[in-house]
Amino acid sequence: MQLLVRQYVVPKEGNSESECEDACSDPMPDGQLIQHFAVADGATTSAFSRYWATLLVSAYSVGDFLGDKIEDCVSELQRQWHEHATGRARSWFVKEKILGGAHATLVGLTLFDKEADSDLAGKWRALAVGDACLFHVRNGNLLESFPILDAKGFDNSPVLISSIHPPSRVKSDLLEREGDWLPGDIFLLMTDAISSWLLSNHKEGVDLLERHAGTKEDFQHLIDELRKARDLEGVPILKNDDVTLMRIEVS
Amino acid sequence: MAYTAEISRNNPTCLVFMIDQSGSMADALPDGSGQKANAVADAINKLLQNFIVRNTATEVVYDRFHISVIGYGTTVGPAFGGALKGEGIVPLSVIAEHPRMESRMKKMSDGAGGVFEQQVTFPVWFDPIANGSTPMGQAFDQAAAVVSGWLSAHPGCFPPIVLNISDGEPDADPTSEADRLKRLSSNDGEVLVFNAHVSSEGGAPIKYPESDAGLPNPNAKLLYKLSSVLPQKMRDLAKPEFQLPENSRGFVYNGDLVDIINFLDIGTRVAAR
Repeated sequence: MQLLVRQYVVPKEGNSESECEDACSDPMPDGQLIQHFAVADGATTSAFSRYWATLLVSAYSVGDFLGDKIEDCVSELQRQWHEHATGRARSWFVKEKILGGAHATLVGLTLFDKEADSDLAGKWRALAVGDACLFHVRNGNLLESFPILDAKGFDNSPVLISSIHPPSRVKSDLLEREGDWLPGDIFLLMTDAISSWLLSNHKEGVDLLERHAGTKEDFQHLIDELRKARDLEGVPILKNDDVTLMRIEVS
Repeated sequence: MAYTAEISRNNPTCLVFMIDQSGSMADALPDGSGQKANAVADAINKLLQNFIVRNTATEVVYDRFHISVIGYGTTVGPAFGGALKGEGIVPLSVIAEHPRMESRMKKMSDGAGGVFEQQVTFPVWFDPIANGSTPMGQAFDQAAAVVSGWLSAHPGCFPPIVLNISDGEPDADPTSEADRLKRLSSNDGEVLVFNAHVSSEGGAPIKYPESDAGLPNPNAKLLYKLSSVLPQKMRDLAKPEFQLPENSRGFVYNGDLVDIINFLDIGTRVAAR
């Protein structure tokens, strides 16, 4: 299984990169039979949410956030988050914020290599909590969007993984999907604003993303243009939010 | 479409709190929980605390909102005390740095049906004041002056919001002053005026009604009439907690206005569960 992985992160306009609350897993070394990828979006109004989002994608990328291990995994991540957040003196408002915890959406993709010399397709599995999305593209066509099918499925209150709620909630909140991949397929893991835009602009959206999935500057230019564009009611077609895209091409 | 402007550090908006500090605020609340003035001071302290915490990102308070507080009673004017005394309009991050921290005992659930008392500290910016008459109309005029200045400098902002907290017993009908204020606008819509009524009569809270039919007294009906209809965008954002009909107004009877922070789009919300 040969993979070409590219990552793009564009912070909300007006924010610096260090203020971006999305997180994207690091690609694994080549040659692994199973590969994990994840994107998470820390809730703007929660505490140390980027740190929480980073913990989640890191755990997913090493295979800890899967199956029966999820509850124990979340419990351990909650301990790490709490230690980080309360590790030193803070202002009253930061302490108050910490009581409300950190919260993030997560989408994860696992690719399984096909057997050597097999003509069969390889397998993929995905899980999602909230509105970060996976898109499966073949020959320029959108085969699948998960877990949200329609641009109307986004609002300001997605389901979130919490640093303070019982870890058992995650199992009931997560959705899972699986399918087959063929050489040449492309998987896109994306946070909510750009996912919502793509679901409003299917065919044209996939083409645009593919044309701009080159350098970081190309992608930044696309996001800048989309943020400037308005619909018939004068509303921006891409909400000003952090944008993260992880593009995985498999062959 | 109006009321869709982003609220951000690049495009902040302005909130004006009007606090009734008249003599009638010394009257007791019918449930024996103390003076109305205490309830008002608690309400505004709680509101500011909520705005600050909601706008805290990691360790910094984002100045998406600039706040003015106007007291009205013996005099009408800026009501901040301490280091902020006399300030007309203050960025949220500056307010966050200047509270007085107070300790109180708070009843908490032990999770097993029992209750225990725990010491909690909370920020205080305003103490109860109850003196003089109720020049609510003058206070609306002063709010209009603050808002006009803000709009000149920030014409593209989400429309400023004026929150009036009162027992609803003004010296004179302030409708014309409130209407003048509501006619001011940014490019994104007219100024919004919301009212919280702390009533001497008590009774169950009524939140964001669409008519004055169920309101128990003329003072409540007056404050309802002064209140703006909630824009669609705010009603949409309210949805997890409130299914609000089209003509719901920014009026609360015997309740606080803390929900308002959830009706403003400042990013992904953590829904109550």
